[in-house]
Amino acid sequence: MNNKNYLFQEVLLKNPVLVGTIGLCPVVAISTSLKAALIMSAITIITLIIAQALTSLLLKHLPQWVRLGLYTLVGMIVVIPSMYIADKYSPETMLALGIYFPLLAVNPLVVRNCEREAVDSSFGRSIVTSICAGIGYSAVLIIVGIVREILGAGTIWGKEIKFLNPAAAFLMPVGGFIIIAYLAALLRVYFRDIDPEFADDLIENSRTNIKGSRKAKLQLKGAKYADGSGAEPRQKRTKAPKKPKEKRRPEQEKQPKQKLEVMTLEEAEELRSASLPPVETTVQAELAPLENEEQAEIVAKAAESKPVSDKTSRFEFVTLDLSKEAKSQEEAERFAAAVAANKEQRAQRQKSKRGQTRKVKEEKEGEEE
Amino acid sequence: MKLIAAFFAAFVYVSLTQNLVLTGGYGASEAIRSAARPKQIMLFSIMIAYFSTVTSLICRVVLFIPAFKNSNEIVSLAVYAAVLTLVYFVSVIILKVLLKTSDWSDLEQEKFLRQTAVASFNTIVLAIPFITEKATYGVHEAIAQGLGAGVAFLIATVLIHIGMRRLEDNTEIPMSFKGTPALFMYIAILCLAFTGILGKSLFF
Repeated sequence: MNNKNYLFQEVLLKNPVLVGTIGLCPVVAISTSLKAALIMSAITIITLIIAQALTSLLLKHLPQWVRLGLYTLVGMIVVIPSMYIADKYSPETMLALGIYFPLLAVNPLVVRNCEREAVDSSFGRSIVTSICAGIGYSAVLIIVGIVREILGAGTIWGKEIKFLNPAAAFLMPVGGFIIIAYLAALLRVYFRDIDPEFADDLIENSRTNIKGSRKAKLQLKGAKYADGSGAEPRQKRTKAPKKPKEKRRPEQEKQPKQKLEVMTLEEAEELRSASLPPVETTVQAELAPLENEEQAEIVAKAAESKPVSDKTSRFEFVTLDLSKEAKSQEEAERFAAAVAANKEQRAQRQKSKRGQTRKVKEEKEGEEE
Repeated sequence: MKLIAAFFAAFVYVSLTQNLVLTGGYGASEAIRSAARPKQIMLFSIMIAYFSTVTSLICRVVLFIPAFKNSNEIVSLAVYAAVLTLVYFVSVIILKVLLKTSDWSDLEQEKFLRQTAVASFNTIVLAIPFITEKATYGVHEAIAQGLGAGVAFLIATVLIHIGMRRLEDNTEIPMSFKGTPALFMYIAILCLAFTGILGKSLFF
């Protein structure tokens, strides 16, 4: 990866504020003017560089719980001299920042970057990553600072803009959150133009998604997270009548285990369209359109017995062990073949989709020329 | 009786009226990340309440020392950060001893200790001693501030979590706003509500 791509990835794709939702306190509370934003940016970048350099050289040999405690001291080492300088040369900024200034010593961005990047990387690489992360964070701080100063105070770098009626709300965290919401949305629009699939992944793998059983259930229900069109409204579950358990035959138990890969969302949709047993049969109300009821029951049981992991996304597969429930090996083989065929179809569709987007881009470029 | 009344007044003010997360933005990123993991909300809030209470109390006691009584913010930061780090290390050492006797695996213990660190080195925890100093609160009010910060964090996190659930089910959100941007907007509305409760004007 060349340097330009790396910078692009670190600054935009991994933006700590707009993508990672980290270090929000300084952004929403402190960056109320361009001057304050620049001071904070400088402090953050210096803290990041020092902390990551120290971590890659010395701290990585210490246990994690000790390291985590020392990052605040590193932050303090940087913030105290900057407070002293700010107090001497720009006391009004120091007053405006108030108690938020010393709180920069506990920026979670420093902890995250040190633990994710600096611990496992060399000194040089950790310096580069710290600068990139600092640039990404500072970019957001400065943009938010400029917009808030204009809309909230009606000034830019202290100079008054006459035709504006400022609103105090923009100097409060309310304004900060509104501006970063629009910035995050703009970033999505930008990604959607470049790579629509990545934009969908950004929504899917967002940190703000609820991690827990509810998300997994929704995914199994067939909620449309993967294609980005939002979740379906909740459906009431209807209990299917219980059937008496059948005793397993000894021959069946001796059969070798066959693990089938079943995709959670998109493949399920495609399986349904290909008139094959759908995966989302865990919702018992949706069993009706299946051709073979016994098969549907097997799939439902298997899916219920294996909970979906928290990290399940559309790229991950839920592995269901159907060997215990499958009545014959043929049935399992048919299912596996169907899934494999489906995968191929999906890959072909993705290829054609990419080709289409390229064509459209080329046409646009041609028209512009 | 006066002390108890002052204690509850400070507690209610910090936790309900002046919700530090939603009116001050303190610990906002931790609140969002915690809200995305509903099982951890309670534990994380208790940790924050513990660290903010203990730190606030110790820092308030330190302020009785004449040398620190009229110190500026630079000295205060050095003292408070040192106290917070000390509280963290002592707590972790105690936790490590306790965890040795438990059935938790090494991975679980490591995860728990990591959470402890995130809960302790947090803007909301470090802000409490500064607020206590600025408002010239007494020892009992400093304790109320610490406990109130934990409750405020819990309220904010639960509200954000409820919003997240609603936003996930909402099909009318534009594609560009789906996920993080919509959540930021929702938090902005919550901030607006709490700013209103606090009685601040949105316009000059």
